[in-house]
Amino acid sequence: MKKTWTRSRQKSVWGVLFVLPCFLIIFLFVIYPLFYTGYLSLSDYNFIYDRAPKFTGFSNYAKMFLDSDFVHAMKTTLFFAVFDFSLLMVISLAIALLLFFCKRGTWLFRTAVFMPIVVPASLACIVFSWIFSENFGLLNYFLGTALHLPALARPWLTQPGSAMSSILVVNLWCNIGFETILFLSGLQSISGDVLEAADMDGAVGWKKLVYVILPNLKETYVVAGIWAIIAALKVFVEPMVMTNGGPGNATLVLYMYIYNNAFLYFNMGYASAIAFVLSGMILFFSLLNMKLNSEEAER
Amino acid sequence: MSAKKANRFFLYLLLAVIALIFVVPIFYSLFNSLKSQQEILSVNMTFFPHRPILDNYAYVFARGGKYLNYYRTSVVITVLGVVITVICSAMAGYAFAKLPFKGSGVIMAFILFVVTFPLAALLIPIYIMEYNLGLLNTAWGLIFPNVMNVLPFSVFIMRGVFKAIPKEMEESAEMDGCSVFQTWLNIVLPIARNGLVIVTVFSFYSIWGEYTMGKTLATEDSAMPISVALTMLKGDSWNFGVLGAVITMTIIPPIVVFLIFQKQLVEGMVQGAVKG
Amino acid sequence: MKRFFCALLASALVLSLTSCGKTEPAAGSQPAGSGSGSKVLRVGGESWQVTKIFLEDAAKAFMKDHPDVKVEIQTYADPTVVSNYSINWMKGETPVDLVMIDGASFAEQFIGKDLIYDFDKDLNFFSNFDKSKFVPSAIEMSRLHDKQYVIPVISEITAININTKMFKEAGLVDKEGKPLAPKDWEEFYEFAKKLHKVKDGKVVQQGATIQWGKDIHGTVLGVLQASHKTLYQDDGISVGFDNPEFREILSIWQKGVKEGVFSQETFADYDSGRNSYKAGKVAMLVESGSRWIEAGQTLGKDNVSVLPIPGADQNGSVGYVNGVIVPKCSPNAELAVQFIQEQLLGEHVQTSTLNQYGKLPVINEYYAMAEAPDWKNLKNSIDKSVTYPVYKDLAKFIKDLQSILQNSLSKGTSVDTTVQQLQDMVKSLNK
Repeated sequence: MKKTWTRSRQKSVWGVLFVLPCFLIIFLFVIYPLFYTGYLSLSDYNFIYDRAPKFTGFSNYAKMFLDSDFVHAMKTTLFFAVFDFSLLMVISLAIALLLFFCKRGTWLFRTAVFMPIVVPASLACIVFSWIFSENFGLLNYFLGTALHLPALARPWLTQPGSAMSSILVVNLWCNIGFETILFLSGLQSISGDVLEAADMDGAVGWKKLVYVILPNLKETYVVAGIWAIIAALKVFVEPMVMTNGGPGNATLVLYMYIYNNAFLYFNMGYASAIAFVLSGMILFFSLLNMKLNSEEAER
Repeated sequence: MSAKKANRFFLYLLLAVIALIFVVPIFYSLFNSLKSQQEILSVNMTFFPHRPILDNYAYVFARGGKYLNYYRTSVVITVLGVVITVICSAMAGYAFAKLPFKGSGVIMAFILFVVTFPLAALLIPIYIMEYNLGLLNTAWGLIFPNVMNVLPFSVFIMRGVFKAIPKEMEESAEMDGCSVFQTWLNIVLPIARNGLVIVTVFSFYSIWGEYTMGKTLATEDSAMPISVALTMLKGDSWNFGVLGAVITMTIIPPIVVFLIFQKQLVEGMVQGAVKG
Repeated sequence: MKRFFCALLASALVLSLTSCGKTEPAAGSQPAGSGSGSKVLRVGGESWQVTKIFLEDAAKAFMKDHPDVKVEIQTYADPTVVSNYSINWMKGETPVDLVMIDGASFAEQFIGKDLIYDFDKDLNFFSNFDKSKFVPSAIEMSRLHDKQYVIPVISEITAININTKMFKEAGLVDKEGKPLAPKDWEEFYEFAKKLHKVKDGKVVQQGATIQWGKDIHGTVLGVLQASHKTLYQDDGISVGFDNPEFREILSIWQKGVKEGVFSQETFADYDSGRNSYKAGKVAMLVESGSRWIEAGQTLGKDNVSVLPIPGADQNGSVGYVNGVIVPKCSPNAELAVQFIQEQLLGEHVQTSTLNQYGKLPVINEYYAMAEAPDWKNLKNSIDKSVTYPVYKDLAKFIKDLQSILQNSLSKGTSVDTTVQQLQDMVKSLNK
């Protein structure tokens, strides 16, 4: 009895010690910037014209909902995020399952899927702008010449509808590789006993997949889900580099709106406030994701 | 029997098409780096270079032999950043997964919050902070923000990996008389090797290709990482041949790392469930 | 695995130790003399400016003339880096003595906090450099709040870059074989239709491409000035879109876009017009009047030329300057002034930038040294050109202009609605 109590106390102490270095690094480095940004979000501060921020309370936050650009950016981001998140999760899971079960002959495919991780997103976006370009793009050329479907060729990035889809495609391209790795790791960690038991119970094919494997991936859904949520809601490089929010305002996403306010209009206060709102949204969805996938209570 | 074969065939065809889509942009820029501006802009597009030239690379290197310096800076920042991240996340992840203590939920929410925050809004405060601490244009001045960028998510990855390890492992180690630390180091960590590899890969590529903080916090040549230095070759607008060369030079070290780890990464995972 | 990490850690530590010695914290560096008593002049520029304004050449020449001075060119990744310098400047130290900026209005952010010199009053720039040597519009474009915070070095105006070969093929030339300049936008549209070629549903020769991307304000304000003689409404401050000329231009633009004669490609990628033009696929490119020189390198100097936008010959166009500012906390202000006067405004930089890159000199006499005679077509435009309004919310103006116009052109919103939207937008800005 005494032994177990000491052990669990020991674990607590070690827990704190183990978390300490990580926590310290993050805390010390982030505490000043976060507080400063928080203070800015409660003030009116134009970087150019004001010598110092003027405290104004929550007026920035109130202003947001009356700002048509903000509302539009919010709608665009959410719309994009829904598709991005679902496609990212589903496609990555599908590819991970494929790789998990077909081990032979997929080396080339594996390498191909993981390749995009190596390329920095900003450079990849420039290449994709080029590929999607109306007159010079590889895509239109391919559709027209190789597939003889010139009707499908279109100005991908300058029409409101296709601009969004193009950005979606590029975002998926950049993120599927890593997401697949996360899923693969999760698949691998499913205990062999569980799978054997399933085989012995006669669960094969679809049944095995749906009733045995998928439910056992809960932990992976948490990690993979957070990554997907972040990738979807914090999307920035793709619209910034490829369409610059255009055409018109069609691809203006929240993160880009924050950037514009901070570095183009120099409204630091307002930008900070929006940043907190975006952050809050992502936090909310991540916690939701965790709750939905939580297993037993902490052991 | 033949239906199964047909299925297999179509499956592989689908895989091939998907693989192609993933790989085409990379190869496209690689090939572009060997083409002249005229060939790239010509009306009849080419994928493979018809007349390969090395001019684009010459252009890159003519801009100064400083490239070794940029590479070195990037390597230092990335390697140190990765090592710190791996160690810290392995510890913190374990703590969150298996070592409950008062307030761990709060701290985890805090770490999660850091991940969600848009970096752009923090750039100026970080610049001011580093300016006051004299960290601008130094290696550590770039290592810390980068670590801060990748550490939170790495912690989550490790936490996930550790959570999936069955309790029995630790209990048997406990019964064998191991302390918490020993359990972590000798028993649990090797099993979580997969996770460590993922964290290494994730942090390596994130730090190596990081641009926004790099350009803000390293304004001097001597401190610039390669991801920033190479984008300065843009000029008024990108010469796509040069862009191709730039991309090639940026991804070669990561690809080397990738090939080294590929064996670990893929085999470890695709091995299937082998648990002892 | 463990061993691998240890090895990695060890090698990284070794590397960092060797590099620590060389990397000195540079914020607020003292002029590091390479010899006793020598001074260091630090010049900052964006990478394209370093190339196109021949900063390296200027540095070398200056060092030759002043052996006790070392000139260091520092390339910055993009303008946000310069914005951050204000943080250094407020603390009284600076990593540069002289900064090249893109657009005089960029200096606005430093004026409010009193961080840069007024070249006229503080540095007596014009006491030994004759102001009349400058092209008057260049000086105009670089004055802010009636003070000379920026010294212009090059300028650019909106013009029509053309492909002469295509003009000749379409018969749009005069008796001497020189390309005809469209007198108004209706004629521009007609020209574009003649120059537009489609084969098998694919455009092989684009009639006209107009800059409607990030630099849209250059185009829109340019045509406003050229057609309406002034950018402003009666109050002299607000930009006025509600006039018959602009309405007509807008409807012609919409017509052109609908028929495909005017390309939309600059919406997403503001460089794509210039790239297509350089590849010989565009007949008329309405953008900064420097593109034809760039294209001359791929298409051949005889196949390109430049014309003023309709009306600019009488009323001028719109342009901006790239110039230099000097922060007040620089210890080398006099040296900086010398560098500007002797090198940046000197013959080599001014003529080379004109002949090789098509950027306009700000000093009058160098126009005579232009290699290409086509510059004469723009002489009147240049002389009468004006610059952008100096609004507090200029960035917002540009962004909103872009979004309203792109929406209008791609969706075909009625001219009345568009003009109303533009007027409302202007009203809501902080001027």
